[in-house]
Order: sequence, then C-alpha cells, then structure tokens
Amino acid sequence: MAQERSIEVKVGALILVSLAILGAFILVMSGLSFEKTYTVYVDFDNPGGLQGGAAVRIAGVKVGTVKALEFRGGKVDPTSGRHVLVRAQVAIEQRVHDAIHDNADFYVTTQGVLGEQFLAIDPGTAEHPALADGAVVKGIDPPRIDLFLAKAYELLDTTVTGIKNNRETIASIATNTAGLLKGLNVLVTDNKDRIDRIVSNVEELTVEARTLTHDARVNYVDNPKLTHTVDNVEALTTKIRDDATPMLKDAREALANLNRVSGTVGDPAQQERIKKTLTDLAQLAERANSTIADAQVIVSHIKKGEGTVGGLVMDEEIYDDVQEMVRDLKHNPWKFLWRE
Amino acid sequence: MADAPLARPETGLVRNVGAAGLDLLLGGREMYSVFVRTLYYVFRGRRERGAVVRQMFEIGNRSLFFVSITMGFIGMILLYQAGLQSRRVLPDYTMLGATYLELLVRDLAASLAALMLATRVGAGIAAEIGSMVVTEQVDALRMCAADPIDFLVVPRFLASMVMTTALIVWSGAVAFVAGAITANVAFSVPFHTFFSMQLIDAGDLTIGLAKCVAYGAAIPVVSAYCGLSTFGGSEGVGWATTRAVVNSSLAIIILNAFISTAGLLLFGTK
Repeated sequence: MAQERSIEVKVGALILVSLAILGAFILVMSGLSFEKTYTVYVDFDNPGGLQGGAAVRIAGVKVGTVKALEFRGGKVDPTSGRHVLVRAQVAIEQRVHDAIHDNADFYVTTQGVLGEQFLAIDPGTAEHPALADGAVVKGIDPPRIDLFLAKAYELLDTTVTGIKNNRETIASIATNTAGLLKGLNVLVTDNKDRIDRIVSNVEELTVEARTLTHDARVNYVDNPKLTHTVDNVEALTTKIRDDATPMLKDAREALANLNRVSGTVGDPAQQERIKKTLTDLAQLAERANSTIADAQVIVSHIKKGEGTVGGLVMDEEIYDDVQEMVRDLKHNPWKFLWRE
Repeated sequence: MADAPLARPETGLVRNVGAAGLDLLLGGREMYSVFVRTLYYVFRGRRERGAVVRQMFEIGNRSLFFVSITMGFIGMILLYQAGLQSRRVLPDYTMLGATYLELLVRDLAASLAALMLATRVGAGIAAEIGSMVVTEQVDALRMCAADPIDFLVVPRFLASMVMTTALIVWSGAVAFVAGAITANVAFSVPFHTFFSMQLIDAGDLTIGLAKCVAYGAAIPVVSAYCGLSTFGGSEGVGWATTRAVVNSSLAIIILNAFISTAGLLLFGTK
C-alpha cells in the first residue's frame, strides 16, 4: 500500500511538473501582463507582415502588444477623415502613457535581419501632450521590399534589353573610345618634353602671378601712403567744396569790375585822353633822360675835380687843409676870434 | 508437347505484393478493432485505479531519465547544427531561439519524444501482452469473461495518453534548455534573446498538443495489437516486440504527416 502511494506521488509529481511547464508556456506565449493597458488605433495602408499579437516597443523595450488587425477596406473614418485600409488595435501599458506624445511616430520594423515584424513607437517631443486613450493615429508603412524588387527587376530588364538591342552601337562606342584613348596616349608620349615645358612654364607663371598680386596688394592696397593721399585728396575736395562758393563770388565781382573798367576805357574820348597821357609820359621820360645825362656830365666833372665842387670833393689837399684847420681850431678856439 | 502440363505462370512477386496488401488491410482492420474496443471500454469498462497508476509509473516515470537524456542531446545537436548552417547563410542569431522553439512546439518535441517512447513503451507493452498470449493467460482471461482489451489495453491506453503528453512537455523543455545552453556556449547567444516566444501562437501549441495526445493513443494501441496477435512461442514474442516498435514508429510518422497537414490547413503557414 505504501509502495502504491509512493508510485502515485511520483506519477502525480511528473504530471504536475509537466502541467506547470505547459501552463507557464501558455501564459508567457499569450503575453501575460498584469500591467494596465490603454488602447490606441494605428491606421496603415500596408502594415507588411505585422500580425496580431506582435510586440509594441519603444526603443527596444516591450510596452504592449498589437491586439488585432482590422481590414476596413479604405472606408473614410469619420473622426480623422482619412481613408483607412487596415487599422491595428494596439494595447499599450499604462505606465508609458505619459511618455508617448501626440506627435509620436508608429512604424513597423523587424527584429534582426530576418526577424518577426513588430510595431515600434518613436515617442515624440515633450512639448506635445500625451497621446489620449483611444486615439487614432496614422502609422508609417514598412518599406516595401517586394515593390523595390519589382522596380529593380524592371530597371535591370530595361538595361539588359537596351544593351542587347544596341550591342553593335555599344561595341563601336567602345572601339572608338579605345582608339581615342590610344591616340591620346601617342600624342602625350610624343610631346612629353613640350608638355613638361608647358607645365613648368605655367608653374613659373603662377609663381610670378602670385608675387605680382602680392606686391600689388602691398603697394596699392595695403600701402599707408596711398591711404594718406586719398585722405588728402578727400580733404582737399572738401575744402574746395567749402571755399568754392565765396571764391566764385569774388571772381564774379572782379569780372564785373573789369567789365566796368573796360566799359569806361572803351569810350573814344577816354581813349584819346589815354593816348595823350601816354605821349606826355613819353616826352616826360625823354626829358628826364636828358636831365640825367646832364647830371652825369656834372658828376663826371666833379669826379675829375674840376670846378669848385669838384675841387672840394676830389682834391685831397683841401681835405687835409680843412682837417688841419679843424684840428687847429679845436686846440686853439680863440683863432675864431683872433688871427695870429 | 501437347501432353506436357501447362507451365504455371510466375506469380511470386504479384502474390507477395497481394499477400502483403491483404495483411496490411487485415492488420489495419484488426488495429482499428482494437482501437474502437479500447475507446468503448474507456467509457464503459470497469474502473481499476491502481492499474492505471501503475502503468503511468511504468510508462511515465520509468521513461523520464531515458527521454530527458535523449532529448537533451538531440536538442544540443539540433541547435548546434542549425547555428552552423545559420552562420553560413547569415551570421544573425537573434531569431535562432524563436525558430528553434517554434520547431520544437510544432513538431520535433512531440515527434522525437514519441519515437523514443515508442521504442521503450511500445516494446514493453508488446512483450508483456505477447508473452501473456503465448502463455495462454489471455485465453484464461477470456474464459473468465474478462475482455483482455478492457483488462490489459485500457489502463495502458489511459496511462500512455496522460504520460506521453506529460513526458513530451517535459522533454520539450529539456531540449529547449539544452539548446539555449548550447547557443550560449557555442554562438554566444544571450539567454534573454534565445528565450523568445515571438514566433509561437495558439495554432502551434494546438498542433503540438494534438500530436502529444495522438501519439499517446497510438503507441499503446499499435503495440497492444502487435502483442495480442502474437503466435508461435517466445520467438513470436520477439517478433511481436519488433513489429510493435516498427509499427508504432510508423504510426507516429503517419500521424505527424496528417496532423501537420491539418494544422497547415487550419492555421496557415504564417
């Protein structure tokens, strides 16, 4: 009886262990979560391989599941006004409610290269309010690899057909290109020295041009003298501008005076008088000349010591006598009164 | 020449094929008869609790070590080979665990563990019943107005249904853990990545559990039929055992094909 019971216990234990494994498996499989969730509806034109039960992740962290995918056949949704083809009902855990804003992006992506597709949420920016319970948003469709392949296939097909149909043209293009390249090669090889020269000349030219531009810059752009000159010219023009008006006024007055003078002189009576005055002036000058000639004669007489004045001026003896007389008078003043 | 007897046509091959076909047909009918009578006695037969528990212990607990070891090694080998192939195509192991788990749940855990059980449990049942047949104990039972199906097959049938399911669930877990350890050691796949249920859905689990129950029912019925149809002494018991193992394995493979096809039609390929 004891053995019977021991067997029963062992059998029961095995069954219970298996049931526990199976139960745990089913619970984990059904995505059992004790977190409270809220629902968001995501509209897609083509959700790709997204399935009901697929995970919902933010930055790789699972925060919910896709509960169901409903085909709505392009009917217009009264709340959003959009044509909805497929609508995914998504249950998101309440704990991330505040992290998902109403400008969040919902897109379908895969885990790994060949992995199962899941719904990823880019939570949006903090300025926007949190996404409300029961909100309907537009999801971003996954990239259509099949469409890409179809297009790529079409492109390849066109290319291959084009090449096939224009084989001769392509061959001739290739031949011509080869010939051209060959000719170019010969040209370059034959004229290697000249090309080298040209290149070196160009190099020298560039060096000189560089020096030239540098000097020009130093002398004519950065030069302080030039700046001074320009400043002076500027000052001058300023000055001229300031002085021009009074100067012009003076000039105008002078011209007016001149006009008056010429008007006066222009009279024939006046002209006659001027002529007469000039003639008198000529005669006067002639007389002055003869007077000066006479004076010259007198002076030469004096110089020769002729005449009284000449003797007085030119005779040394008289000078000595006068000097001696003055000296004697100085010593003997009485001689003014008395002669010995 | 005219007196010469008519030459018998060479019919050896045709006769052999015909005989095999008839045997199969008769055997199938017999097996079906055993199955139907087993089902009948499951609901209408007498209740002997101790017998079922003893058979559960024999079929379940006594096979536990064998099945665990076998499935553990099979899990390691499967995963290692799959990883090698995967590395050759695309060195991305993120989906290795999920794919492996899907494969186990849908098919391999049930089929491989059932094949292991068929060799051990099926051979045991056939040998036990076969020896009872050749020692005329079955006839004695019949004389006592006890149907050997009710007395011998029903407890094994019930015990096998329960314990095969339990053992397959257990051995699936063992194979998965062994695979996870192998992936971690050989390909550095983190356990967290490996323990991924994302490819499993209710359809997979339904197919897997259906296979558990079907194999659990098939092994004792096929083996009991082989045991009951034993003839010719101890040599016959040997043959019965062999036939039980072969036929049980065959039954498992055929049932696998049927259930997998049904699952494909019901749940799709995903």
